[in-house]
Amino acid sequence: MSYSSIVVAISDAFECEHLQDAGIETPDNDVIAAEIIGAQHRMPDYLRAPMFILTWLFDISGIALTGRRFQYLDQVQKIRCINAWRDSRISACRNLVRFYESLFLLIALQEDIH
Amino acid sequence: MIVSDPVALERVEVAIIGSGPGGSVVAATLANAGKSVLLIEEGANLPQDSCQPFSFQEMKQKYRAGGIAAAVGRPNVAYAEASCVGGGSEVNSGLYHRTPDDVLEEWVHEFSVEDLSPASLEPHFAACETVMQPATYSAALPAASRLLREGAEARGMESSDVPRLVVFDDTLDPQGVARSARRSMTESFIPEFLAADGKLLPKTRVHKLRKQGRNWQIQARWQNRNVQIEAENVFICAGAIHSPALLQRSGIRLNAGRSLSMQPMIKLTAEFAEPVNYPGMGIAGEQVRDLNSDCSLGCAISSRAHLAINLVGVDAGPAYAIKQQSHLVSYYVMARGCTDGSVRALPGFDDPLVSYRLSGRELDNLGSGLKVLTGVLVAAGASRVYTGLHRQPVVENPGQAEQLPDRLAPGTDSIMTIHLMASCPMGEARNRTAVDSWGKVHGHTGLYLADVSTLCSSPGINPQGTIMALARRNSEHFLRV
Ligand SMILES: Cc1cc2nc3c(=O)[nH]c(=O)nc-3n(C[C@H](O)[C@H](O)[C@H](O)COP(=O)(O)OP(=O)(O)OC[C@H]3O[C@@H](n4cnc5c(N)ncnc54)[C@H](O)[C@@H]3O)c2cc1C
Repeated sequence: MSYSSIVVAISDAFECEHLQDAGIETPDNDVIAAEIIGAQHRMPDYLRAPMFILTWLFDISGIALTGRRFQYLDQVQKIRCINAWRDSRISACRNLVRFYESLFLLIALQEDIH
Repeated sequence: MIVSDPVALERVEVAIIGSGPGGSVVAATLANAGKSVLLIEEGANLPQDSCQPFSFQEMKQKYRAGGIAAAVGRPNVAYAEASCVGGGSEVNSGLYHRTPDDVLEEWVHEFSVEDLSPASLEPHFAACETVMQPATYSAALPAASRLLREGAEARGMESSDVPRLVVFDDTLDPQGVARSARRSMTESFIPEFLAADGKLLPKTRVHKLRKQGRNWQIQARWQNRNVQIEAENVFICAGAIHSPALLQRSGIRLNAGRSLSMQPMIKLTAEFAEPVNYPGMGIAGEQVRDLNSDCSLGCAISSRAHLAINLVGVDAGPAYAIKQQSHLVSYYVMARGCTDGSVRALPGFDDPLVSYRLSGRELDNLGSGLKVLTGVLVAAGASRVYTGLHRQPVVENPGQAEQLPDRLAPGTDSIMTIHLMASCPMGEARNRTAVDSWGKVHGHTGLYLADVSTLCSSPGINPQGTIMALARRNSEHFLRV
């Protein structure tokens, strides 16, 4: 029920959607989620609070779509929820998915570029 | 000297707030002239090699807010600013331009800036270039550059390898491209400043300024303690967002933060049949100027993570970017930008609220720039171009490139910027400027600005060269009067 379990669940879904067949090693999703939450704490204060609230709303929105909160869904249903927000007419919903997806990929796919 | 305890500081002749290209150049110029100078910086003092360039680690260490911020508008525009000793120069690509003549002319006419011309700026550009040594690739170009050039030339457009503020070393990468490292402020003006007896106070955030008698009292936060520093003169060099915010917090509002400009960008990804990308591919400095759309077209970071992010929303998605990384390169379109934003310090909040309204002209320019860039990359032999636009098909031939929309939809989510500016423009036109032609804040003695915020409008090029030359010009004027 904690905030971090929502972020871990989001990371699990992105891993399943994007990296399952990629055949690469990435950090644990717990580690990635901790980094994402750290990044949220560093955000400007006028964006931070809306981000936390939207994340909770996202978790709860799973109930409307599937009958259960996002963090308790299986991966297929999680991706369904993410797609609903990704395609939403409300830009804040699209931006939330974009935020998590970009940070997840940035952290999961870090490499030595030199 | 690096100051370890500001409590012990005596009154200084000059305090400079912010150590980016603006603040560092002022600091070195004034310290070299024998002034007692204190350079105050909110961020940490880290060496260039404290992390991998363009990595998540770098965002954590050297960017404000971890590199995640957005200007509120429709759409929101994501932006990034540095916060460390050296400011933006520590994280940027170092693409270097002198200010175009027509831009200077426009500033003189529209903002009544005194004594500003290519000839009057020449010695300042030359002096900064002696320290920074902008350089182009001497041997082979990175593949990303070469392809952009080939495509541009095939379409009758001019393309050039823009000089960069880097140090090339003697080694070549596996593709024969010279390796390089950033020549940032911590590698140039800051050591010069320290050698001239300058004092650097990192990890100290200035909250407010107050005039007390003839001096300025600087109220700052250092190691969870409030400290006060007195200075006869203060140069605010805190960047496009934080210079106006600091002025506003200090009760100085005249045209501060009312005219923020930015150069909005959008990225796309091109796929080539042959391998064109490899881990460690150097920064590609090639740029094409598209005069019709007033956009620059250039090469973006093409690391695995960045490519994967670019391909979100495309059918095969990030997994495809990982598998095909060696065939993919990322490019950007950057519009000149208008002046339709604002910065507002909010009572009770640490961070100012930044808003920006993308104009129809910017959406037009980004749309047509994206179309031109797609055409250029198809002409360069790209088998596919992923435009990154929501639900936009992948482009595989010139005909499809032509069918891309001429204007970006106002709801386009992927617009971002790294160039923010002109929030406190300079000039004698008091109705629209915050500082005079030499950076002195209107109506306040001993208070100056010398950073990207004083540009009158977007110069349409990467701004660091302009910032440094103006900072030197204004510091020399300060020393003369
Ligand atoms: C990723 C990236 C790539 C870029 N690439 C290029 C490029 O290739 N070429 C180019 O010309 N430009 C580039 N830029 C832009 C360029 O770096 C900036 O325009 C430039 O650094 C601005 O210089 P400045 O001195 O005005 O401010 P900044 O460099 O932003 O420095 C301001 C400093 O002030 C400090 N500060 C702010 N508020 C306070 C306070 N209250 N108290 C104490 N300190 C404070 C900040 O921590 C910061 O270090 C890039 C920027 C980014 C982010």
